Amino acid sequence: MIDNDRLEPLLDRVALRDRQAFRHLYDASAAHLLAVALRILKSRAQAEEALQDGFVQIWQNATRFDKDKARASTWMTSIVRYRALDMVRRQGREQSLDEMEDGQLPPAASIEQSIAGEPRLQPCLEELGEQPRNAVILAFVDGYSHQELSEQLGKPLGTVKSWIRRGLTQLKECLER
Amino acid sequence: MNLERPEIRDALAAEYALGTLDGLARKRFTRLLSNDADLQQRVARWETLLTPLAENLPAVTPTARTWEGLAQRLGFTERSEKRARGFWDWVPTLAFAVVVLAISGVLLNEPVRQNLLFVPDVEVAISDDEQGALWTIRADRTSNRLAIETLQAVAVAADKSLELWLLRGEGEAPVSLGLLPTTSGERIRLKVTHPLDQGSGFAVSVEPRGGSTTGLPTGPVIYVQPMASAQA
Repeated sequence: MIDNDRLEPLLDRVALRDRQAFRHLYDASAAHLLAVALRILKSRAQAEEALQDGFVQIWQNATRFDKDKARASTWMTSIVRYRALDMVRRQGREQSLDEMEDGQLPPAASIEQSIAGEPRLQPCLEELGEQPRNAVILAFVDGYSHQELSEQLGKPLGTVKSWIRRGLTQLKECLER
Repeated sequence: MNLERPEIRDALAAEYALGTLDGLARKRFTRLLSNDADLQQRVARWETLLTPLAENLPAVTPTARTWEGLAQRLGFTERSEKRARGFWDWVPTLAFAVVVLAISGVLLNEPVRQNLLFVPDVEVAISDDEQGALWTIRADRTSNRLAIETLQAVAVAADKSLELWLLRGEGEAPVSLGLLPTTSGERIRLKVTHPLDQGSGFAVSVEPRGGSTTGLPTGPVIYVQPMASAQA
């Protein structure tokens, strides 16, 4: 879990082109962000590339970080995650099976694990019902497209799309009440 | 699809943040996003809602190569190509210096000399991505003076000022150099108390009118410009 109170002052200094602060920012967050990219790309080499690209953007755009609008961890995770998504949509996942056999991937956290310790999110996810919940989590954490979700879950594309749509709407209603 | 309707905007923002908005739809949405503050806000809200899902994954430490590659891409690791200067390399510089000193010592009185002998060794432009160069800053690091010229009118809110900062080495706080002029063509000269040769670059921040009262930037930093030597 990333410590936002530590990251925000570092990001402020990075905006002033402080290289030492950038190194501290990297040390404090890179392992978490690599885990995010790795879950999507399933390839260590590609995930490290996404992480590096993400940090180039973090360095270049640090002046745009606004702590009133987002937490530092959310801002940084989003940058790396979108980069990983771009890569996976463009390059596909052909390598995933080989690399999984190499034991390079961390054990896939169960869905229960990924929401444990999120007191607000957990009850709302539980309200969704099992299948829409799995679809939302697989889409966000593993970066699966509608098509991939349909294959993974063995359900027609239309069903998966409506789970996602409904899941997101319900999730927001629950979290905002 | 009717992009005026808030529920459609929100549904698109949600699927964009989730990652399931794909292909052409994602491209179109990304284009809209870059100048639609309402969409940006919706996406940010969804990112905030969903990101906790990915924050508890077991951490994976990157290899040292990833940092090294990053430092290289960002120009942190400079390859030193300066060769040692021999005596004969200095001769033209010394000769010129002797002539300048002789002329200035003989012909000029002190205030005139100070004014005329502004010899900038740093010249940079501070530029906006969209509008281009806004100011040129010339610095004479020997006499610690700056000459700033506003190249085009710079829009700033009535209750705000733009403050110029000297960025220093790693881990050191920036030093205020004063407020920037914003009228097109306006030139100012500044005598600075902090040694300019300790600076690595300049930054511009938005401050309350009259400048930061804390001695440090308090508003957003909008431009950063590393120092570059005026001549090699």
